[in-house]
Amino acid sequence: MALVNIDKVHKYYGDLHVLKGVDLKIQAGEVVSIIGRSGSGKSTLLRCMNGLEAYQEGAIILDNKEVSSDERQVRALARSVGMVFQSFNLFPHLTVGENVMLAPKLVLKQSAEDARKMALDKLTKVGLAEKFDQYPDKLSGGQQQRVAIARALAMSPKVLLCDEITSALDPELVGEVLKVLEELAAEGMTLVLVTHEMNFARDVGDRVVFMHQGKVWETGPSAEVFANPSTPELRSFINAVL
Amino acid sequence: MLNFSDLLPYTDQLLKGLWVTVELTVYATLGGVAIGTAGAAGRHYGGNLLRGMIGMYVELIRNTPFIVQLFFIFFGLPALGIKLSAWEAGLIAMLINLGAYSTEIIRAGLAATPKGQVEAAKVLGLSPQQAFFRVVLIPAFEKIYPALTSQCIIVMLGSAVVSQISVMDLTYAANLIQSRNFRSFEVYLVVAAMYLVLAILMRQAFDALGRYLFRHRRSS
Ligand SMILES: Nc1ncnc2c1ncn2[C@@H]1O[C@H](COP(=O)(O)OP(=O)(O)OP(=O)(O)O)[C@@H](O)[C@H]1O
Ligand SMILES: [Mg+2]
Repeated sequence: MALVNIDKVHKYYGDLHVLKGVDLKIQAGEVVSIIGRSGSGKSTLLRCMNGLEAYQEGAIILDNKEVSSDERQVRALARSVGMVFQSFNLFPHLTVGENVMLAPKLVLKQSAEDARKMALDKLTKVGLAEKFDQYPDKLSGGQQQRVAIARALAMSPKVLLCDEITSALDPELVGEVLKVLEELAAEGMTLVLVTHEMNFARDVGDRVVFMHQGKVWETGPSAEVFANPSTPELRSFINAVL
Repeated sequence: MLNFSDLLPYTDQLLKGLWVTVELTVYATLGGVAIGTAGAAGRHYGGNLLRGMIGMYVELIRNTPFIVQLFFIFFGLPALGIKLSAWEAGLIAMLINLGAYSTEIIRAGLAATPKGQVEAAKVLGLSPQQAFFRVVLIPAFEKIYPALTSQCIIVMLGSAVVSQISVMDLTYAANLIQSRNFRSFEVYLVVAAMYLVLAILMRQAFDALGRYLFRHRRSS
């Protein structure tokens, strides 16, 4: 069974039908890029995958657990799925190290020592171990986003969801964040990336999912999809962004 | 002719009154801010019924005079069989009063917390309580700390009113002393200075606590 099974998922915001029967399977170790126009439902799909949003029809099974927005379910899911946001969302009153250690201590009940080791390990991975005792507002946007990645990784998730995590960054800082993602991909981490970085999607992603009008409109191996889009919608999208 | 030496025989009364005021203020501040935190959380996260009830409490207190609230608790409640000492009634009035104002102040702080930080806490697996106490609360307090400090000082100064139900606070002592030695000018000048010093000390204590709680600020 795939790590993530999304089966005919429908999502409404009031009367607004946002996801109109999304089907998607993601295997462990896959790097999937979700692309599509603004408003096509990319963020909504990601947020349904970890219970931040409820969906009304269909099913999402992630790591053999059915995803629902029930409070307890979301908490149980935190062990399987991590998320990184466009706006970093670091906790400003906690140091970098405390940001990373908070959930392992509170949720996984790790000892202070274990949590510290884990945090140092993950911060080393994103190249920021020396910022352990700094507060987030002393860091650049790229550094903050790398801390956010480390914070998510400290929960040892099976899949990491990233929603346009480079969109809020100055162009010269995008590279350092993408590099971290590239390394994670190389290590076999399952990544689901909503992204506008088409080059990254093509070069690092295994597979591209093109969302259009609340559906998975087209999907396939990255190189193929970019070279040979089969739907006119994807063709015009690619022409517009590349 | 001013004569402050006529106050000397009453030093003891003044200090006792000062102590009562300090004691009431410490309890009322700690309790009132706790009530305000709970009230703000209820108003921010609670259901309609809870939100409505807290809203009514806040409006009721904010739109009636403190002295009437105090009289109601001390003189009115015995009609319902609730008899309180003057000191208890004074403290409860202060708690309820600060609780209402700080509910409103702290709620503004909660509302200003970026939603994304709460979501980040949620997807990390924190329970709503953990997210509230570990993630939301300190940045929320940081945003409204000056307003909260002022409100607590206002309640300390307003506590002078409890002398009206014979709580032997600093103002009660002042009234008593001037009725004995007729040195109104001197007595009230000294007592006003004592309130002023209390207010300054209180602000400094709040500032010190703020420097500790919001130490992440200093780094920037
Ligand atoms: N909380 C919400 N309440 C109501 N409507 C919403 C909400 N969030 C999103 N929507 C609507 O749902 C639709 C899909 O939004 P979504 O954020 O998933 O799009 P997206 O593909 O991520 O777009 P973008 O590229 O701009 O981020 C949009 O029409 C949006 O206005
Ligand atoms: Mg989006």
